[in-house]
Amino acid sequence: MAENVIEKDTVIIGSGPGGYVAAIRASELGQDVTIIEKSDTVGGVCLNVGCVPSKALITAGHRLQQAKDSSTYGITTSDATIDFTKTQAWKDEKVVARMTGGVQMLLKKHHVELINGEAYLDSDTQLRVMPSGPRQFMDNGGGQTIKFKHLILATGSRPIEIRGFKFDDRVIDSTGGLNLKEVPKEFVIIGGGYVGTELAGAYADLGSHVTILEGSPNIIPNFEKDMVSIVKKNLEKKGVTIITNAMAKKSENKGDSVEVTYEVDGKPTTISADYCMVTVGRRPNTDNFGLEMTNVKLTEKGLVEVDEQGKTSVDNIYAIGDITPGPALAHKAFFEAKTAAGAISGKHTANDYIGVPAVCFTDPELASVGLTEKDAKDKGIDVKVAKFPFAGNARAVSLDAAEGFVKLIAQKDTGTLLGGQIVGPGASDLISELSVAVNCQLNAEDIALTIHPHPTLGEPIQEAADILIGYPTHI
Amino acid sequence: MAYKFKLPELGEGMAEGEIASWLVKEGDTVKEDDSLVEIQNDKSVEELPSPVAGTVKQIVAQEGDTVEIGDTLIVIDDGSPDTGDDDQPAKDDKEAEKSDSDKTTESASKEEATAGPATGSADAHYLAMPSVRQYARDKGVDLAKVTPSGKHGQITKADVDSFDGSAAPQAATQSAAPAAPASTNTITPYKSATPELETREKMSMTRKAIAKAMLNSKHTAPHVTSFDDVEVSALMANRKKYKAIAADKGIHLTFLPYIVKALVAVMKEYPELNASIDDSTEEIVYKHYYNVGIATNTEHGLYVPNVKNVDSKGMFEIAKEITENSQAAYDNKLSMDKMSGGSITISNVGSIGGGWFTPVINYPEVAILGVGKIAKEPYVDEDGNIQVGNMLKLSLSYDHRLIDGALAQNALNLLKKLLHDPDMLLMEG
Repeated sequence: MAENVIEKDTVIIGSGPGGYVAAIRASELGQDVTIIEKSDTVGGVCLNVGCVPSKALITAGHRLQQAKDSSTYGITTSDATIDFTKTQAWKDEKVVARMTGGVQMLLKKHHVELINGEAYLDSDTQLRVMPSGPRQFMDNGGGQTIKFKHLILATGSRPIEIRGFKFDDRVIDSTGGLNLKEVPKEFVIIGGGYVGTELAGAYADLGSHVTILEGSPNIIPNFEKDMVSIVKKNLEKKGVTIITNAMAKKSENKGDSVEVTYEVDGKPTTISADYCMVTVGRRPNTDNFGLEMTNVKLTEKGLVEVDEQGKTSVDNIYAIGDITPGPALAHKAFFEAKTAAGAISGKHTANDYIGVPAVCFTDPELASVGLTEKDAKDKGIDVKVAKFPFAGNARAVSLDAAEGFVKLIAQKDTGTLLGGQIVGPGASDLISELSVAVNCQLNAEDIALTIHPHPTLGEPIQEAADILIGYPTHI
Repeated sequence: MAYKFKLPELGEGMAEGEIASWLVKEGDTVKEDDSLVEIQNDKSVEELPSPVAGTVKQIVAQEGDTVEIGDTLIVIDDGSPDTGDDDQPAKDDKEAEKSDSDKTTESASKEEATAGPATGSADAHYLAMPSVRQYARDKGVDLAKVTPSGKHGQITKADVDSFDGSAAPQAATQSAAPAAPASTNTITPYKSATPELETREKMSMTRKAIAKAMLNSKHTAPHVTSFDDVEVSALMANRKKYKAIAADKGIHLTFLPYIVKALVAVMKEYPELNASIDDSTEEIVYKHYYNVGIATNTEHGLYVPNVKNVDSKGMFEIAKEITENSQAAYDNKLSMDKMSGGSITISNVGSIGGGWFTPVINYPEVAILGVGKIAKEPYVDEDGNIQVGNMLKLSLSYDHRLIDGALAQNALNLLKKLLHDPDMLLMEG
């Protein structure tokens, strides 16, 4: 195979949020970059079948609901209807295609070579690229062999399939859930995490009766109870049935429907639905691409072990995003991508961020960064906590969305902000201010002494800081 | 059962030595006080006697090995009862110590890594903005050691800057030390465009000791050298007269004993020449003994054994000791004691044809007399007549911190007087 070896400078496997950002940054820093992507489009799960398209469906759901019921504001319309094919076309063509096209253009602009195919690692310095698609067999002579100086693994993650729920045309994963051709009448969602709950809200808005089966006592368990309870109340208002402590047992494809059996306290129940979406989590893509042929070490949880620069146990191989420890979030991958690309280029970069913000696009939105009150308690850190409700905020009231609150967690003796949570209108956007504050280790006083414009949804952050320094204003 | 003989302290703060040669081998029977080994340290070779009687079980340190105080050199089976600690074969013991110290190094470096520049570990954040954290990484500054000046204890970019400029007290020196040695100690590697035309060899311990001593002397004592010459026909005649008598006694009489004797008289007149400076207390230490060192060149290095208490010794005795000392130097058998506690040193290059030169003081002494050859040169005698004189070249280097030029010249004048008229030595010496 020696005659068929191409030598490359920096090779990146995967063009998701981690991969494409690493490519751009590495190129900006003077590297010669090649990305290997197995699917037809760039952008990975996030752009194609994750964060971005789900936001489109959520928007469509909101618009439909507003169109249907704005009588509170004195607006009445004749019955609003939805052409879901058109909704999907808008999502695919105007949202997803536009974003992935944008990424493709950026890669081109940065002279990143894009190879379509599946990468298989041979060693710490060599891989083969095979044409994408199913294969009967593989032999060592197949594909194009590439010798690389640096490699960044950005292979991402994929949905977990559970026993008794083999994916088919009725039992679907989140990708299937985003690409439904029709709005299901009955929609069962197994797993009430952030993906399941977001889509539960979207499809409920779009007209489905949604049933969430969640194994733990609460939906969206990674957010605090006082935040989630607001979301839960809203979902129930939308008509969503939430069944917690539910163990999904099996599914049966009935051709035009699916029967789902679950147990609560050992008592089995079977419900029928048009579709059953399984969103119980994701697993890292660390298998099936020859990683075992390298000296890259995995953690006990099967994630790639990396140092503060994203370097694996092999000096010239870096790993970023979902395959590394920490939350599987696109923006974490963005950051790690820049760190790894910098490290390869000899920069003193480090993943020394404080707090990875997490956002859930429910109604209302949930967002959190840094420590929660409970985290601080678990770590034995003495904190003071301030909470300001959106009910006291003019903008929230004028939006008719005065639900929720802003919560700030500060170190008790110093006032340094350690974390913040927001549940309420615009939480996904507002959390950025708290991300800056936490990552810069600002003091509550710094926030309190910063003018926040009026009337906006951001004011409760300043109000909460006022509470922390002992001089609350609007409460 | 087994006695482990460890390198004892050799005095003068010597921390290590080299095994020059073993005088016993494994299986030998040794008596107490039998010489076991010759240890070469900086400038001397010491024979170490056995503290016990027994059979040599194992020679642990090999010839050429550098050993430190406390290192086991040899194991002697002395028939004593087992004590838990001594039961271990010496080699194992040494290895155990080594791995122990390895462990220490390892854990030390681990600690260093933990305390190092802010890393990805979320708990290792110091109160600093992300841009300041990046700036510190770029500059290699460990935020743990930076004194914050910002409100609420924030470390600012300026703090990192001032730390890097080592303005931050104490902490700065601490961190700078391991990273880069103090600038005075910076070692510039010797680079060559034609290394193939050169060879390299390790400096011997003696060479290193000489280099260190010379550097220290030149670095510490501001040297001034006064040159002079003196007509020594009478001295030559005297020596000629007594040379044979000395030879009968088995003594080789050179000019050196005369010069030694003359120096005693000079030192008595000018005690500053027989002194040292204690920098730590800013005191002048006057010595009330007269130990005159003679620089001795050997094939394995330069040594300065001194003849002790020359003021109370006769010329023959001094001559005899000079010969013995130089023989010991040639044989590499000088003890440390012979080379310490000197008053002043004589460096003689005249015997090999040298003239005036600028000898380097044998610090902490404050003066050294360079003795050149005796050359036949025109010379104006006391009566104003030009004669063929036997001119001895003298070069006196002295530590100007203590000795000023006039004093040095006056001392030289007296020395000249004594060497010009050796009868004066009877009076003054």
